[in-house]
Amino acid sequence: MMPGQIAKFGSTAAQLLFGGIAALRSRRDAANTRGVEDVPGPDEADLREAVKQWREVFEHNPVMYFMVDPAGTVVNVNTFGAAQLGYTAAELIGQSVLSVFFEEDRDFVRRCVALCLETVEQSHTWEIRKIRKDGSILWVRENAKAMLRGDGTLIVLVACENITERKEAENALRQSEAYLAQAQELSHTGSFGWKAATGEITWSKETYRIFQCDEGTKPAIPFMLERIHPEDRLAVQRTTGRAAREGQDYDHEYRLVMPDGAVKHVRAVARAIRDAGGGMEFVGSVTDITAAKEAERRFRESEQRFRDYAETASDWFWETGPDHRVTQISEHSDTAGMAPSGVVGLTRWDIAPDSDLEPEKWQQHRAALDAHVPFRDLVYRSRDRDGHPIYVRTSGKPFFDANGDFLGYRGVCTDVTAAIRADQAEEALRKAQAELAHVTRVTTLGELTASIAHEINQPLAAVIANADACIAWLGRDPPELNAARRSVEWVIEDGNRAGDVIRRVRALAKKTDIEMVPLDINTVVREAMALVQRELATHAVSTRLELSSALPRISGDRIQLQQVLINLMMNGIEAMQDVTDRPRELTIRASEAYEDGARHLLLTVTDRGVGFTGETAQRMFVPFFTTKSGGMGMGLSICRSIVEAHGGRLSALPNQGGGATLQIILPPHQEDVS
Amino acid sequence: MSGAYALSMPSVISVIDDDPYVRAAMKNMLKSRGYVAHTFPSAEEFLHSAELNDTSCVITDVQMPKMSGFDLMAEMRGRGALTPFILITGFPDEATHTRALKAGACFLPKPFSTSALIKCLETALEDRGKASA
Repeated sequence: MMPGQIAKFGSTAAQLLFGGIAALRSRRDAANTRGVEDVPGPDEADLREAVKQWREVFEHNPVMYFMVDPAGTVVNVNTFGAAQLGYTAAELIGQSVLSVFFEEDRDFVRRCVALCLETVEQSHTWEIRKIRKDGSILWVRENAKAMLRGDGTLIVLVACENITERKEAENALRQSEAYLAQAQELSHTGSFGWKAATGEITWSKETYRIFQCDEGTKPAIPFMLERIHPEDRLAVQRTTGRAAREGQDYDHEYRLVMPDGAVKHVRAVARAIRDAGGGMEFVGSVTDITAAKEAERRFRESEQRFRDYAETASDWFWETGPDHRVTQISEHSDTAGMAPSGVVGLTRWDIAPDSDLEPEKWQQHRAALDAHVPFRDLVYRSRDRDGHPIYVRTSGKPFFDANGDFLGYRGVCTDVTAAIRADQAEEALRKAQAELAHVTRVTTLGELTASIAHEINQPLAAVIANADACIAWLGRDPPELNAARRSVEWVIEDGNRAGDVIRRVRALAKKTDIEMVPLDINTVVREAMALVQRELATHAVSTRLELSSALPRISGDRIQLQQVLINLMMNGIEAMQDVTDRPRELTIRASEAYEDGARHLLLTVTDRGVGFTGETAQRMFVPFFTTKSGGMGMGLSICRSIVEAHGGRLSALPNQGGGATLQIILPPHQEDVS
Repeated sequence: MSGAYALSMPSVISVIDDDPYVRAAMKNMLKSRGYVAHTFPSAEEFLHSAELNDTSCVITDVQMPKMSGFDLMAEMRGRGALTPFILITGFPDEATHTRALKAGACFLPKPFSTSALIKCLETALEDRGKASA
């Protein structure tokens, strides 16, 4: 039975019943008025029988009946109706009907009752929730109308049908639809149906969203084609056309152009089914894959970028297995011939010809590999494809499977032969420079021979004189022992003095490795001065030493710095050789200077000689450039390279009023700085 | 040695050398032989000293910063002093030797033996004795 019919029947039955009861009551009233014993007559008996029958119907009809007065008080309820709510009829009669409704629904109920009261004899239907005694919900469809009673008062008759199951089903369906819609939205996947024969298309909400189409619009092929990217239209038509003709499933990707010009990538998948009438019907999904496409594009771009890097690098890539044997060597066209061939299956130490020569290096490397730790910049000797010896630098990192089991190493090799050769050349150059510095030093010493001889002859002369005096003092009668002792003491002093000179000369002449140590420049200057003292005297050059104890220490090789100083002083002495109109004065000044905000040592050697011209200034540090008749022209060039090897600078400045100043700037000793 | 004691008045010797050790050693040696020795670090200081005129013999280094031994000798000869000179040098070369002999001085390369110096000194003092006689 349809709900509407039940309601209708219920309503009619209630009216009948009510009518019967009302008739019976009026008859009894009349009898009372007449003072007649209330004894049922034959008609009355029939009526009573009818009322009894109707009461049975009323009470047990599976429809809930309520009679409510205009104030909303339950006047009557059938047993079924009360039972449906978990009450007895007696519990409800006399109560406000609102008590079985939710608080928030009560206004609605009042309005419904009011409507019925305003429109007497007209039926109204609505659906509403009621609360059972146990608190559970009962969904009902109510059919109600107000009737005029015999006494002229109004009563509202309500017949209710239990629609809880239907409501729950509806809710479940609604919920399920909501889930589906949300799932579609989340996955950017809409669904569609397409009847090929009629061209009828149905879309889910998400499909509308993907196509950016108003949900009110009926989807149609022309609209879809308009949305599809012009370049993809033909392919889409071909795919769907063939699927429709042949009854085939299809799966394709195409682009959509949105009204704002944005491009979407979509993938449509459809299954072909045959409908009851034998026509082709497709059910499918359409997914917005723009984000995935973008990610794919980025991934491709990134891959291409790394490929570009890799291919422009002069590297090749390798992979080794758990036993450290080469499993793969990959290279690109640019490095073809560079990577060694035929090494798959070998270990790195099988390949390298230096493995026997440097066992320690390889032991360490193998230990690193066995520990499965990454390694960096291992340089070893190898051979290229043509058998030429090359130097290879390699770095690698271990790789593991999902369980963390070691699978091998992957890494990169670079041919560093050129760099190694350059390093070797640099080392050779450094050695050559040191040799040359030594040679020029010895040459300088050669030039100083006379001075050196004099420096030794002086104390020797003193030794002889004092020794002789000693003998003479002892020969006196009585011997002058004090004078003799003093003489011997002087002999010792003089001997030491000679020894000092020899030591200094030997130090300069010795071919030693460069030894960078913290130095006090004052000591370096004084020792250098001692060796040229006689040259100064011979050339009648006076010196001015401006030193200070508060100067920063420098880091340097004592001998090389002395060589520089001697060279500069000798140049100064020579430059003043022909000067007669002014004092021949050589000033050596040590002070501090700030360069790039850091404290540096400034050392100058100033002469009052002939000075130099602009042209000379340009070339004076160039090897083999000389203004001296007997000079080799290496002095200043060597001096500059020595100073630069100390991280400093050597420059020449002309003086006002003649002469030149050679200026050395040296960085301070690093440990003193920090 | 005999020379020094032979004279009733000890001879005054002036030593000029810019090397203080050489100066001290020379003085020590001369004193041990009975001579009276004065030392000067430069020719200029000797020229300005009170001993200039009492000096019986000058022993001087040739190479000195301002005024050399030859300069001093020329200066004194220029002043008419015939004081004998013994020239000593740490840079002995033929030119210096020849120049010294030409100037009539005794010439000694450093290091020199004491006997050579004494010989020069005795000769000089003898010559001086002759000259003054």
